[in-house]
Amino acid sequence: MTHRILLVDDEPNVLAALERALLDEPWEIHTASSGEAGLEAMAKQAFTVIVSDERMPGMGGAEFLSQARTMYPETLRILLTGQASLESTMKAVNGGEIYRFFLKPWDETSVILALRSAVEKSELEEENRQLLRTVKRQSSELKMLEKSFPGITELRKDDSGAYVLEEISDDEVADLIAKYGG
Amino acid sequence: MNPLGTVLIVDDSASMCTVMAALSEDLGFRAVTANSGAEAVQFLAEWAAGLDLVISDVEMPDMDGFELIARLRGLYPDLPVVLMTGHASVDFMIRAIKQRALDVLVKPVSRPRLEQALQAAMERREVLGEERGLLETLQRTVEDQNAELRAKMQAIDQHRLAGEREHEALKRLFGQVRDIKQEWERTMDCVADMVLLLDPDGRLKRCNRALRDFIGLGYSELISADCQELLRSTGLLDGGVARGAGTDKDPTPKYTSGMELLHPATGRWFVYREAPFASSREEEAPGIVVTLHDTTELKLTLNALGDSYQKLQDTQAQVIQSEKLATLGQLTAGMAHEINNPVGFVTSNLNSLNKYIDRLVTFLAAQSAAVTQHASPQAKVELTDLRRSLKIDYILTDVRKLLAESLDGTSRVSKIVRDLGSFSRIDTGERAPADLTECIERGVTIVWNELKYKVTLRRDYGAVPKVVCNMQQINQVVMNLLVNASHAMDQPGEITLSTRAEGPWAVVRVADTGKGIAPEHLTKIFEPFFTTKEAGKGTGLGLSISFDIIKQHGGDLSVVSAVGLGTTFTIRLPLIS
Repeated sequence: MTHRILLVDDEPNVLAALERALLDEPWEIHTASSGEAGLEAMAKQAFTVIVSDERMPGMGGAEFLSQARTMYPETLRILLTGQASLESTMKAVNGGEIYRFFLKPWDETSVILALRSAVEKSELEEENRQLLRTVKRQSSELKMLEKSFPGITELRKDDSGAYVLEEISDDEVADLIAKYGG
Repeated sequence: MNPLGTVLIVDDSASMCTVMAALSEDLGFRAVTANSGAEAVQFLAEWAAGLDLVISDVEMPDMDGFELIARLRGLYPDLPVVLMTGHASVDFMIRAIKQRALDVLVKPVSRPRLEQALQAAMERREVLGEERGLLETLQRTVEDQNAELRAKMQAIDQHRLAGEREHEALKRLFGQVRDIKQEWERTMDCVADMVLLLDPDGRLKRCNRALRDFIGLGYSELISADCQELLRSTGLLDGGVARGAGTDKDPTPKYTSGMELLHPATGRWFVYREAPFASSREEEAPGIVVTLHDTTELKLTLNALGDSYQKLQDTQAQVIQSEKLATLGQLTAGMAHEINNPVGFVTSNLNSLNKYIDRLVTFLAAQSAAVTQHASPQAKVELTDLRRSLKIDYILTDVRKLLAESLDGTSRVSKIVRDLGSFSRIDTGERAPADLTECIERGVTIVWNELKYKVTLRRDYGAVPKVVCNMQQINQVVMNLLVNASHAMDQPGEITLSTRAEGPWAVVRVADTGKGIAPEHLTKIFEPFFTTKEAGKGTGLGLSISFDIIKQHGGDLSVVSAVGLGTTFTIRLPLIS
C-alpha cells in the first residue's frame, strides 16, 4: 500500500522545497495551501501523515491539526513552524496531539526520519488494528461455536498434544440422546 | 550769813541732840537732828546732797553708830562721819578707824573739840571736793582720750570695712572672671569638633574635651605637645591619599588647612582647619587655632548618595538596555516567521540541489564514459573543448563549496533570528529551585565536545543551597561562558568552574587562562552584536543574552580580565527570591 503524505503551507516555495526533499521517499506527496484546503483533501482520501505550517491566513495550523485529529484520528500530525514562540507551540502540541514538532528552517534529515518513523508507526498501528479485528472476529466465531457446541471451546490438550475428552457416563449419554437424538 | 556747813546730829538722847545742835550752830553751822539710825538713814535719803557732816552717837538702841557708819559708807562714800561715845577704849578707837570715822568725840563734847572736828570735817570736804575736781578732770581727759581713741578705732574699722568691701568686690570680680572662663571652657567642651589653641611654635596651649576624649589623655599630658606629632600619633591619615592608591599611605602626613583626614581605627573622617589666633595683648605672640570637624556622617551620606546615583545610572542604563533588547526581541519574534520561511525553503532547496548535483555528476560521468567509447573523434574533441571552455570540471568541484557556503549562510541567518527571538522569551518559562552544580554539569556535558581538545576543566564546587531559577536559561549562560572561554584560548589552557554561597548570593565563577579582554572592550562585551570574533564566528548576542537572563533572575553578571592572563566571569544569583 502506498502511503500518502499531505503537506500544508501557505508558502508555495516551502511546499516545493519539501516535495524536493521527499523526492526519494516511496510516498505519494500531496500539498495544500491552507488548512481549509487540507481538510478538503483529507475528505477525499486517507492520508498517513500530515505536515502543517503553524501560521497561515484563515485557519491556523494548530486548529487545522486539532480538527484533523477529531475527524481522522489515525492520521499522524507533524507541525512545522516558523515561529519559535513557546506559547503557540505548547498550544499546538497539546491541542493537536502532535507526533513531532519542527522549527523552520528545518533540518531535512530529521524531518525525513520523523516522517519515516511516523509511517512506520502508522503501519504498526494499522497492523494492530487489523490484528485486533482478527481477534474480534475469531472471538465472535468462537462464541458462535460455543453456542452450537457448548464446551467445545474448553477442549484441552495433554502434554503430548492429544485432545483430552472427558469421559461421559451412561446416564449422560442417555440424556444427550434424549435431547438431540430424539 | 551763810552757815559754814550743815551737820546731822544723830543721838537717841534728845537733850544731847539739842546740846550738840546748839553748839554747832554756835560755831556757825546749821544743825539738824535725828533720834535713831533709821531716822538718820531716812533723812539722808532725802537730804544727803545738802549735808556736809554726820555726827552720830555710837550707843543707840536699834542701830548703833558703827552700823550706821557702815551703811552710810556704802551709800554716800564722800560724806564724813564723826562718832560720839561715852566711853572711848583702844578697841573702840581701832574699830572707829577701821570704819573710817573722821573723828571720835568723847562725851561730854567740849566746844573746841567740836569746832576742831567740824573744821576737820570741812577741810576734808574741801580736800575731797578738790580731789573730786581733779578726778573729774582726769576722768574727762581719759574720756576725751577714749573718745578720740574710739573715733580713731572707728575710722580704722571703717577703713578696714572699706578694705573688706573692696576685697569682696575684687573677689566677686575674680569669681565672675573665673565663671566666665569656665563657662567658655565648658562651651568649648560642648563643641563636638576638636578645638586646639597653639602657640606660634605649633605647641598646644589649650584644647577642648573633644580632643582629650579622642586622644584619651588628660589636659596636663597634652599641654605643650606638638600638634602635628600629636595628631600623627593618633594615626590620622591624609584622606586624599588614603582613598587613592591605598598602597603608598604616608605614615608621616603633614596636616594642612582644608585637608580631609581619615582615622582608620574608627573609620571617622575629619576636616583639618587652621586659623590665626589674634591676641588682644601686644606682648603676646599670635597663635594658631586648629579645628578638626567631624564629617563622618556627611561623608557616609555623600558616599551613600554617590552609590545611589551610580546605582541609579546603572539601573537606568540597564533599563534602557533591557528595553532595547526586548523591543528588538519582539520585533524579531514578529519577523522570525517571515524570515524563517524563506530561510527554511532555501536551506531545504540547497540540500536538494546537493542531491541533484550528486545525480547529475554520476550521470555526467556515465555519459562521458559512453561518449569516450562511442562518439566520433570530432565530437569528442568538441565535447572536450566545450567542457574546458565551460569550466565544467571546476564547476563540478566548486558547486560543493558553493552549496556548503550557502548553507553556512542560511544557518547563520537562522541562528541570529533564533538568538534575537530569545530576548523576547527571557521572562517566560518556569522557575524552580535548582541545584547550580547540576545546572553547570549539564552545560558542560553539552559543550564538552567543543572544549575537550583545548581545555583542562577544573571543578571547585562549594556547598550552595538551591537557587530558584530557570534551569535551562542558567544552563545556556554557563554554556555560553564556557564556549567563550575556550574561544579565548589560542593554545590549550584551563577553565576553572567554581560555586560558592557568598552572603545573599549564589556565586558561579568561570575563570579561563585565555588571552583576556582588552580594557576598551570590557565595557562593550555585554552589548548586543558586539563581538571580537571574526565575521561569521559569533553573532555578538551570547553575552548580552546571558547578561539579560541573569538580570531577569535578579542577579548580576560581571567580568574581570587581564590581557594575557585570562578572564573571570562571575554570575551572582539571589539565594532567596
